[in-house]
Amino acid sequence: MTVEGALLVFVLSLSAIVFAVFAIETRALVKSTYWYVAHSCCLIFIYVTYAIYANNPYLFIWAGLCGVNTWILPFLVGGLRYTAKRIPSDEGATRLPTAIFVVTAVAATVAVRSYSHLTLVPSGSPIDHLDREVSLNLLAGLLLFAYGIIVLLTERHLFKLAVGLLVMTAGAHLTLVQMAPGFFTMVEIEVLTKVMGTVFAMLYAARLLAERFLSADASRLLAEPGETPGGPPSPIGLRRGEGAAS
Amino acid sequence: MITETSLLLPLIPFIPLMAALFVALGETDDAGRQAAFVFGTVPSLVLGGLLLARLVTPHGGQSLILVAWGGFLYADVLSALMVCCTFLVVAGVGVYSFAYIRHDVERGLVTESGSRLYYFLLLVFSAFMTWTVIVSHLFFMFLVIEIATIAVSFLVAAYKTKYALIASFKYNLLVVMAMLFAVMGAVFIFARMTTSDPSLSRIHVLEMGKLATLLPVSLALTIVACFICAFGTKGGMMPFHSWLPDAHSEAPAPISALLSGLVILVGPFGFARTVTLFSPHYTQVVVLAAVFGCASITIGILLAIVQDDLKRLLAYSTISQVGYVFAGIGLGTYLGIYGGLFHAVTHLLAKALLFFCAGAIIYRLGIRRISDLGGLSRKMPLTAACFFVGCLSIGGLPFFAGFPSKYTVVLAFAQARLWWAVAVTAIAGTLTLAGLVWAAHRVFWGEESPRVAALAPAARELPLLMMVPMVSLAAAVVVLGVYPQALYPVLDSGVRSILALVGR
Repeated sequence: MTVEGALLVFVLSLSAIVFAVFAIETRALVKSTYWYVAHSCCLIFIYVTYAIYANNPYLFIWAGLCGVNTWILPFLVGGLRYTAKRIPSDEGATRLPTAIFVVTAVAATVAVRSYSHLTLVPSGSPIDHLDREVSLNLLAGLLLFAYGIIVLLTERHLFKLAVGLLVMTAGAHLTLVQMAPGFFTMVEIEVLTKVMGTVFAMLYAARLLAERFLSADASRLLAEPGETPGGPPSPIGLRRGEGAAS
Repeated sequence: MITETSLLLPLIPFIPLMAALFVALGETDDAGRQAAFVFGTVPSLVLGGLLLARLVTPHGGQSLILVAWGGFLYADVLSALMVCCTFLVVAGVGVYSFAYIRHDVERGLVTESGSRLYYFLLLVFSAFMTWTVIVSHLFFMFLVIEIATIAVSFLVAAYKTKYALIASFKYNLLVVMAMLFAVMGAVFIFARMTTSDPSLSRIHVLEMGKLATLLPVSLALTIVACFICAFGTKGGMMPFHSWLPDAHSEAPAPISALLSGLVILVGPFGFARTVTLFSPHYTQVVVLAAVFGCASITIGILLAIVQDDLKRLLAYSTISQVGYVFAGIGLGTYLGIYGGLFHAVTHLLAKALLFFCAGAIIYRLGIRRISDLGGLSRKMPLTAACFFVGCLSIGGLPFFAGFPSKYTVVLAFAQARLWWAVAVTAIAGTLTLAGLVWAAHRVFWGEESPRVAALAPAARELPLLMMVPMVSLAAAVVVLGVYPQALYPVLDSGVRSILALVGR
């Protein structure tokens, strides 16, 4: 990887992180979808850059699949935008995930700099001499992964949790590309399946909850006891552990 | 190690998939769906048994590995044992569900299309669960685990109540998050391996043992931490357990049995395929597995005994019991892995039995709060006896299946000189026995509660079809308790196949 290639990837990685932050912090969910699309576009460009500079044509396929994720799946029936229009917005959003992330990012950068050297282009493999030099791009990939974890641990809105999972997935795959750009295997299928399967299943549950209980905020849903009138009869009664006789 | 090709491997998951397609697309009534379910699971169970018999048969002192599709699919004894467990539990759950889900349809809790979806998802789950244990490509294994997770998450949400939907969402979220940690662990291994061999295109599950020896300590421990987090979450080990009580308590009772008996087994299986292979080379891994396992054993049972919800009590007890499995397998010794696998099997039988009994109470009375129950033994004597057998087995009383398996894990701790772990398991074991027997007493032998008295006409034994899996499981628990050697050939070969991967 040349310096200009690494610099391009670094700028794109930072942009991906910033767009991910916007996707999580934006209260209007449709806007949040568009920020997520912008975040994914950065990933596509990163894969293309690596495909060119690392001379690995398989990464073009990966970029193409990421494109499918970005341009088709969020806009399909049952996808992010479809769900965003059908569930209440994230009015109770706090800045907690991003605040924790900023602190984590600063602490991680300081910690890495204290025992190693941050570099744009490592001399060998990115994980060969971590005690001597750490690639900035690898750090960015790990931070994106960390941001996904922070969102999943602190966010309460179901839509944002789905976006957080997508961000965490992006972080895992970005780290993979940074560590082993020559890599080619079936991960791309995993990327696609995760979006198609898990996230769609989660968004389906979020829509059902929002339709029946008028909220997509997990803490609000759990705080209110019992089923909202109009919902189906519960098999276990109105409260946990209490059931109606057959 | 001898390698042979076998066409059974692709055939076993293919049968339930075809049955699932028939259930989804065929214009069938209840009987048609049930017939499709039986034809989708029983032949696979028989084929799984044949696979196991072929692998257990001695091959001149060498372990046999069956492969198919150019090595993409493989089966050693552990995989074959998992395949048999999968179809045994799924068939039992299916048979129990025939009447249970019909009853839910009649009560309006599940729609007719929901019932169709239920059997479809059960069959899809069994197919992908089989893929999980026979696919050799590490990343592909993560992929099929996620697909099986999606199927289970829909089953958890079968009633579509608020808590069921939230539990399903949480289960999906946490398991996929955990699998991302597994992906990260695999990424670290892969990145390291491609440095020395750029032509490497995939990580073969059976090659993990060799790869484990080539890593620097700090990287190896990071990878182990990722795998513990991933498979600990999937297996419901403390502190990654938070999905488990919610999913177990909100799912229909047969699905709780499936979750507790089978779905969590993916955790120990993944553990055996990854973390255990690091244990012989890094002593820190042994201590880490023992600490997490003992924390799960202790905290799980402490949380279980304060529950008033019968299904949540059983769910927390699962967290406790799975600690034995993880700790045993994590030790990486013959005795530890043997005890861990043995306890996985005995817990599968006993916990499925207990959830079937809890389902029997919900089926007849619609109550699952322990303080609302009491004196049921007079109305449901067979269910009471089955529940008691399950409790005694989980509690580790002699002559029940849980005793020899738990005892083997404790012996393995002693052999590894982890005396603190022996003490922890002894105390937790006593608490488990006391807690579960106390719960059984309150539910079945205590004074008849007003709510049970009010529902007296409904309180009677289950239909015969639902009793068959319950009584069969109870019999298996007693037989394995009296004659634990019955499983020795299988478990011994299974342990040897794991140890062969680390060159022992």
